[in-house]
Amino acid sequence: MNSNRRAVIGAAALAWFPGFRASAQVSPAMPAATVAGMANPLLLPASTTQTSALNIIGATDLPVFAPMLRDYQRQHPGVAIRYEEFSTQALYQRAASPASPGESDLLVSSSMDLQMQLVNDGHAQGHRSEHTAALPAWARWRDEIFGFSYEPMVMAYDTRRFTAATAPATRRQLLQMLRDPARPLDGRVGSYDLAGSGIGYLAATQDARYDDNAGALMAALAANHARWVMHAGMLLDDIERGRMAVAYNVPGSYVQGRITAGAPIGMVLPHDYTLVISRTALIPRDAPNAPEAKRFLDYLLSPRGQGVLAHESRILPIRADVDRGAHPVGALRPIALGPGLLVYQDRLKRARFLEAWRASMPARGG
Amino acid sequence: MVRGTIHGRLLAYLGLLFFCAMVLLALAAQAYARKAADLSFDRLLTASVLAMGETVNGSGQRPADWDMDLPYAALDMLAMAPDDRVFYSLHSPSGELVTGYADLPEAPAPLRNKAAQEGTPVFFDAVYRGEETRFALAGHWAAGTPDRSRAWLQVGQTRRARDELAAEITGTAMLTIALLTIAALALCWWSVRRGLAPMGRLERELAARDASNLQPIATAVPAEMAQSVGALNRFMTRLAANLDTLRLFIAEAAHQMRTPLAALRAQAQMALDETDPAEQRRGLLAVERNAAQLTRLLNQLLADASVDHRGTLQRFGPVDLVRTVREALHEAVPRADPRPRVFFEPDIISAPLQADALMLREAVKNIVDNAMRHGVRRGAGRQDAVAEIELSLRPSAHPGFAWCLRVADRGPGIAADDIPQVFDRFAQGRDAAAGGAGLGMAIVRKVVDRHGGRIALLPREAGGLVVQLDLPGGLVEAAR
Repeated sequence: MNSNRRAVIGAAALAWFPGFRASAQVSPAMPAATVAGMANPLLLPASTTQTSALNIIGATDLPVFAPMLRDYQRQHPGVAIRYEEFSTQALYQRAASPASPGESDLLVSSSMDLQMQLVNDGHAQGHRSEHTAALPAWARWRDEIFGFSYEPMVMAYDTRRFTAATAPATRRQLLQMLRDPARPLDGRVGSYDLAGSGIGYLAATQDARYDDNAGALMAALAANHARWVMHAGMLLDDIERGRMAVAYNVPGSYVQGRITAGAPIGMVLPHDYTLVISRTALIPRDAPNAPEAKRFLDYLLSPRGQGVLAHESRILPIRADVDRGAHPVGALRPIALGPGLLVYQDRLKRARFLEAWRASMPARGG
Repeated sequence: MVRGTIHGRLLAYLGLLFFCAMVLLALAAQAYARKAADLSFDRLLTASVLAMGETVNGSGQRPADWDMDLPYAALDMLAMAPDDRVFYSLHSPSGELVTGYADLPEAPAPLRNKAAQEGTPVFFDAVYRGEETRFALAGHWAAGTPDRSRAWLQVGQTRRARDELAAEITGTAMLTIALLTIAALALCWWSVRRGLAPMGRLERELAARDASNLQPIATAVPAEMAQSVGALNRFMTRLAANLDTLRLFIAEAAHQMRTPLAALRAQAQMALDETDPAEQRRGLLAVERNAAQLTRLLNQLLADASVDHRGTLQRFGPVDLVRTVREALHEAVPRADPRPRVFFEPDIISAPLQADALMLREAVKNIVDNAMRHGVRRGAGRQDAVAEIELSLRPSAHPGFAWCLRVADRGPGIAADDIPQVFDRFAQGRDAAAGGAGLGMAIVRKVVDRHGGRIALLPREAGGLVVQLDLPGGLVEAAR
């Protein structure tokens, strides 16, 4: 969670998303907010007399989320919006802690498992509307947590090293490549830092659930001196600069953003199965302004909000009835919201899983 | 007088019965549904707790000695209840948390002991984090410990899906019960209608019937109604008999009146034709005598009718028999000569009883009248001989009766064979004196019957007749 990383994301975001650039001009405070994070939350004051205030705490990158906030404010100019960004873990700690009650109206995070834990532990309140009902069953639970995006986890590769035909198309092919005695990928692979990144941990644990070879793949990545990062953008930066050949388990939307921007990056939806994660929103039980949060949630899940997500944030919306542009095809396996997600949040289970991952890494300096 | 309908009453009773049955069934269905829902979802909890148990390893007392590799399926399978929160915990034998939720509600001690003894999971409900939750608790042996201490594995799931399932089962059951009730009530309505159809037929037959037609009812009726129809038929038979008696009576009365009237007319005719004033006077006397006899006959007919009428009214009140007898004597015994000799010196001052004073007086009058008419000693053989009548009143010797009134004369008495006919209308003793209409004793009999009394005609020692009446005292209670 260093400011360096955020600066990179901020710049990258500005480069990827045309819609965001336009809104960034409206609010000059924006880059500062993205850089400084929790110290300087994004404030969008009401443009008319303030009638309501909405506090959102998010682990979703601001560039992704800001277009919806601005569009919502266009619809409801009397609402002052405050968006504060945290890491998935920090967000969870804050929300679960009894020491900070009633701070936020909406929690937004890509870490489905941590969000599930909050809901299961009774920190969320329910909401039902025609828009929540429009969600697929796997993307909502108890009418208390709602997925609003549809993001396949993909492999990204350097198009200067691979063609679509030579790039690894399945985990098995990637594993074979990593085990190749010629070590073509040594030092040129990367993935999320499982201990630091919520989305990385979620994807890796789901791999462990579905794929018997997940452990072997992790070990092979580690053996090839994989770079473990906190944010996918760093991996894509490395590929763009030619320092990395393959990145495993990165959100497809980010990769697509780079491709659209002309970066020499290719994308593979693993043919064996492609995990799909969904950013989720929930309204805390002690939300100071729950009605406004429900209204915003309905907007977020409405065709209009989903359209902004698709066209300005460049993220696939959850609703299939909204124009998604290029619809991903393949062995898509959405991660369903449900109690199963709690398993890897178990203290012992998490410790055991991270321990296995760490143990697979070669000694420092290798 | 109409009081509701059989239809309505039957339906109301049956409806009430079905309603009570529905309430009971609903309660039973609810209890059963909850049990059934628990049973099916408890299996899920059992599977989950067993799946977790398989990955539990440990041997010591402290949390650090224990480990569990939570299987994905253990929690994922609980998603069969799609919207229910799940909780779990593993506690070491020392009671400290190994992993999971630290603050899960504890199982009641008896259940915990049961789980320890039987080695199977036990279930209990508790409120956790604001929601009703079902918990399964299972003990887990510590490997190789001599003290057989246990780690405790607890898995909980909120009751939402269970309650939904229970509500669904209850709803289905209730719908079935409701439909059954409606069908049963409809069937009742229909069968009551069908069952009551013979009554309608009976009503139509009676309505269509001529008023004089007292023939038994011909309509076929079910066995349940046969009794009332039989009663109706018997009633009609009696009515027909009564009507016959009445017709006979009218005919007899007309006949009885025709003779004195004819005689009256003839005597009047003869008196008109007579020129001798003395003969004329004798003829007029005969006319007068016949007119008196006719008057007496009419009086008796009126008295008979009156007794019949009052008998139906049953207007009984407290009456003093002594006084009634005195009044009757006062009215019956003529003041003029030949004055009969009448003795009535009762030992008692009053003889209270429940009776119709007027009827009773009429009866006593008739007896005394009869005695005066027939009680003349024949041996005297003279026209102007006077009757000797003795009345006595004392408590009755027969059980069930309060008073015994005897009227004794010195007449010829009545032959034993003739006694039954004495009480018939227009019946007279074989050698009855002229002037009797033959209604007197019939009236007496009727009055005595109405009062629940008894009448007996007995021969008197040394010649004569005793009329003995035994009357009950508290007739009101006896009659009603």
